[in-house]
Amino acid sequence: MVRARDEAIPAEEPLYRSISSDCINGEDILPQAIDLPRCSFNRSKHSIPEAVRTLRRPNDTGIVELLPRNLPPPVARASGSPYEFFAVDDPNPAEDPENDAHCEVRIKPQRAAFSKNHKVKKDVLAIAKNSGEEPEAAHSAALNPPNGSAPTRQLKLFAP
Amino acid sequence: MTQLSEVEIHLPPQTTTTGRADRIARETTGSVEVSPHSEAPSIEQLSQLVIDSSSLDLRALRLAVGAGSAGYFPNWSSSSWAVFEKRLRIGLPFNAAPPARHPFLRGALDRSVDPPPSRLTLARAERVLAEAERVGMAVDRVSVTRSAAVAITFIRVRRYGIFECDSDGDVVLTLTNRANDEEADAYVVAPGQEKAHLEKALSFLEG
Repeated sequence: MVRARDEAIPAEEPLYRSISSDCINGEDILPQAIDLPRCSFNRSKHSIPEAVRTLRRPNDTGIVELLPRNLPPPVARASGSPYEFFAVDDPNPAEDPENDAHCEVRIKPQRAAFSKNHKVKKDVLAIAKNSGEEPEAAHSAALNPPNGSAPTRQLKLFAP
Repeated sequence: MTQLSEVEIHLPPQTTTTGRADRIARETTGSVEVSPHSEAPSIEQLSQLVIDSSSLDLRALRLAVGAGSAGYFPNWSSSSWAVFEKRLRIGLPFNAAPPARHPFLRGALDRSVDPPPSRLTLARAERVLAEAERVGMAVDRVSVTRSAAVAITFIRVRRYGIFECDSDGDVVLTLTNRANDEEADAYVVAPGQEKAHLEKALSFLEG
């Protein structure tokens, strides 16, 4: 049975996404690890972190953790409202129907409803994927080895 | 749909193909040797296959050849199976692109388990890589993203120049310095403007 969609995701609830070592350089997570305007995560309320590591993605052995309260600030654009980040519950999506922990981080123009048909300019998307955070607000991500043992190092996450 | 007699995926002798595996077999033509003690077949080997991608089911294929690493394929890990499935999908003639020329791009395609980038995306990525060689810029990373884009990354400590060739065939250069809090700069790279943007990236990286 598909669970009901939550109205909101708590700001302190960790969200998880798998990541390949290709997308990591030292402390930095490269923007190609991020999909925008919609980026899939798993909610910690409904799954364990390791659930994002699947046989479908054998190279994605790392796990990044994101708290909604640490989403980057709005991204300005030349004209129109800035784009803001938000997290939304999205259980059992068509592309991952068995995953009831699924949620997404999305961007949309401020004070407007999200629309899948809204086209974001490519350069604005690129800047959004590179959105930084204040160092004190940066959160950590664990890069786990494939055998599932304890995290080997902590990473600073600079993108949603 | 093709007939069973056209099935030419060669499975180990003890294999019985039943159920969904039969369906895969009926919808598959071509020939490939799947050795139980070798690595997954190469893209070149699989490119001769004609497969209905909607019917390709890795689990059924595993049933057909045994129980994966515990069966006839003792040397195959779960990631070997994922690579095999990906290569089968890449081998589809209707969406197959010419083999990548640049070794980094070939490597990235080989590692990726996502849908392959489009022919246009690959062509734009090849152009960026070729121009980078001409201007003497050594690329640090090439990767395929989940959204079937190709990301070409140049790194100098925490400065990054990233050309992302997306699934629409557009290319965006992002220049960012993670050592400070400044916002990244992004530029849409028109076809033919790769060299100018590579030089812009080089200037930023060496700055």
